[in-house]
Amino acid sequence: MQRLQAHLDHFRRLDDLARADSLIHRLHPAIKIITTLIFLITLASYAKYEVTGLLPLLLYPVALITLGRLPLDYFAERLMFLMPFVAFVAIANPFLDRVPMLQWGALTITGGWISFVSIVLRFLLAVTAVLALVATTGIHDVCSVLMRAGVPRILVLQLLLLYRYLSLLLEEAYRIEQAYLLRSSGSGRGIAPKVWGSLAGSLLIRTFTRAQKIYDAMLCRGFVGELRLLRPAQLTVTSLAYLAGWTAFIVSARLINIPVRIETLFRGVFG
Amino acid sequence: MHMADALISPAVGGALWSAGAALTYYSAKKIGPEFHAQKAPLMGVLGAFVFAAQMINFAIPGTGSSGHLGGGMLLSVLLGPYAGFLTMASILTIQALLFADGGLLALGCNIINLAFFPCFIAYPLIYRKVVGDNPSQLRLTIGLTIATVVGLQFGALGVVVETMSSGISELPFQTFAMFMLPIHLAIALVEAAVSAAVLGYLWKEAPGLFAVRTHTNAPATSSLRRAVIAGAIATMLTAGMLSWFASTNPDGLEWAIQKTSGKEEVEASSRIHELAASWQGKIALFPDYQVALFGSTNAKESKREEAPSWPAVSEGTSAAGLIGSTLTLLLAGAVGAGCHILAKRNVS
Amino acid sequence: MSHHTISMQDVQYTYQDHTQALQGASFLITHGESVALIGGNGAGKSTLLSLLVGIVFPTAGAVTIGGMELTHKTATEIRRRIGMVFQNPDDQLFMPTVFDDVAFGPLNMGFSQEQTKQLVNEALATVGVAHLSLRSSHRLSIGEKRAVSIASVLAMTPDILLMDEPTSGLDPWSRRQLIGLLLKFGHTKIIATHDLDFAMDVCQRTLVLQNGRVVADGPTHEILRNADLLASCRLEPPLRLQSN
Repeated sequence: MQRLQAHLDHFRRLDDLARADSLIHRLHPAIKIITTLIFLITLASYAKYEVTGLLPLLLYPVALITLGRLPLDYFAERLMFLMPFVAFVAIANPFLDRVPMLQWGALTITGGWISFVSIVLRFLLAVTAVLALVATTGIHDVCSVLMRAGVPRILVLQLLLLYRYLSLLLEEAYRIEQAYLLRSSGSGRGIAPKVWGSLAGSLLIRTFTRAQKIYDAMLCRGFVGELRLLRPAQLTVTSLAYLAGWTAFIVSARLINIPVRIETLFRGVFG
Repeated sequence: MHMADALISPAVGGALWSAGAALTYYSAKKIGPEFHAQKAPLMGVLGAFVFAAQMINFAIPGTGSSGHLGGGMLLSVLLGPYAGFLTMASILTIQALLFADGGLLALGCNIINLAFFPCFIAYPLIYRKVVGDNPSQLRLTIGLTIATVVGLQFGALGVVVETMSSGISELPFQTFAMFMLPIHLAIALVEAAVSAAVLGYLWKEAPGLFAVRTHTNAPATSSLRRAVIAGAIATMLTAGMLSWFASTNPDGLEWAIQKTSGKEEVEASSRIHELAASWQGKIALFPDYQVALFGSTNAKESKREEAPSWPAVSEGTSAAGLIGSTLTLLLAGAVGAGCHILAKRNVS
Repeated sequence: MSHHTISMQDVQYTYQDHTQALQGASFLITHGESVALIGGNGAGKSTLLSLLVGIVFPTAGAVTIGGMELTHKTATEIRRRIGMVFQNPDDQLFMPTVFDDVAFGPLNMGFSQEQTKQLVNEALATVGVAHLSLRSSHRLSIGEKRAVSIASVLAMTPDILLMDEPTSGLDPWSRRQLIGLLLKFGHTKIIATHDLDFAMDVCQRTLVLQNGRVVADGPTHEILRNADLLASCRLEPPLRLQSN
């Protein structure tokens, strides 16, 4: 029940955010997608024990969130939801890698803890970057770019249909679950498998009927199998500058450890 | 068990991305435009159904815990492997894009683990063989159970292998595998029971819907083999290229400079280097190599070489990065605040 | 003006499960007519509409639209002239946002990007929902969904409008808006409905279906006063005529 509710809420918020207007919303969708990919690939390319070098990359989600006028709790909610799996894999590192790597007075920090922090930081950066992309672009523009980039039209159409009917099906599933839980004794944590079959089965049959109707409706509007979409707005100089700026920043952050440089500079001036 | 971007390396992510893309193109081509037009809405709504059904928990008898539906097998049975694969791929893409459930870079991994194995391995090689063309409810259940178990075991193994090859987690292969495989055996058994219950209901109430599968594509083994080979070739090519790139160039510029100079301390071997060095010296921006160790990109190698001396490292040196990091964060915060004001002004 | 005419000649249709949905329906509807299609549940109203747009094809008899017989070959061409508004807007609106949805038809018809945008804006303005253009289809009220459904059809500039239960689920205000809108349209219209008050407001002519046959065909005000006929077809006279 919580899973359903959480996904529905998130989906609705995403939908609202994507429709809003901001500096980031106005950028060309292809530019935003390419920038996100550059960001993610660079992020994954950092070595296992990298922590300080990752910090400058925080600037990217920070800029997107503030310029795109996105609410922080939108990200927090998702991060909390997704944390367990990543934490499960990462938490092994401190136990298995006990080679000391840092020493501050009596405090010794092992490689395992450093790589643990690194994983958590990567997780934070990757998740916020992807969420911010769709929340400032919207599914239509993402799909339009994917189609023009050569992704098979059948897959693009799937993405659009999935987006359209997701909340409908989530709501139906929610009603089914509610109705079941209200009438069951409330002892179990979920729906008994036997009942599940007929509940999900009847939902499935309705889904088939709906699919037929949708197909009819598509036919009536001239669909012959080839998806066509509106082009997103023109590529602007601002968008190109955005791409160039971030690429330059991300690549230099990868090549130069900025915090260490800042520190050296700081010590040079004050030390 | 969606793979996250935080756990994979670009080589692993890239290789499986190519494999996923190759299989997607192959499947899209295979189902053809006619099937595409007719079944596209069904694929779309069934995708939404599976997504929603995954969110409904059901009780696992005798354990007090709950599980949920996977989907790859169910979709293959209802749509055939190619359309099933595409639908599963679209579900995973939407989960990655909209819900950040599974990373974007890790999308290839997830498509292989959760779409390829059930649709292209478990369905044709097990389910079809066991169930045949005129299935009974019993054969359906048996076929579904074995196929789901095998598909999910492969998927879980995929997670382990991908995590291992990325080298970001320290989990030893055996420990990880011994943890993942039994858990997914239990999950698979429950998923199979649920899928069988749903299909059994459909079987009774709307037998006509099963016709969707029979006349669509029970795949020829040869074309399936082609799909698998195409995916494997794409994987190996990309993995090969990326790992070649990675091994010749593990830390980008730094490494390249070391390689040419042959020493740890960068030696000004060319005029450009000389110029750079003098420039560095003037503004004291380049750190001593030792100070940079904490943040250095090849800390792993350094660790191995210098591990014994580590506890003896002086305080001043090992605190390196701490002040810089704090300053970086402050700077990012300041930029954020500035952007915030800018965004507000821009709207009003 | 012959391309706005609709005719059925002794059309029969049997479903795969051997249900005989239509058992010889015949009628001729000419340019600009507004026709209500009434009848109890299972009388064959929806099947009749499906036959007119080539979602299904007759087992016997012929459907002719604008002088062209509807066959598998001509279906695509004929669908360009007929706008079909489905009963459930959730089936009709299958794209994520309102604008994309309304643009779907024109883009398929081969209109350019610019032309499409113009058609979409015009259609949305006509039904008075221009302000919804960026909204997601799944987040609209039922009245808004219905309006957008109509816009999605209007954007294809059809000559003929078919509607299946357009007032179902609408609140009185939305229903009144819809009536006002339809009265402004010059299209040839066939509207399947249970809402006989609505039929009185919008349609001059009424066809009554029962068990897959056209059992009455005439001016709406006459047919809806024939209480015996209506009762035999599991219908009741409109509320405003019941007080008489």
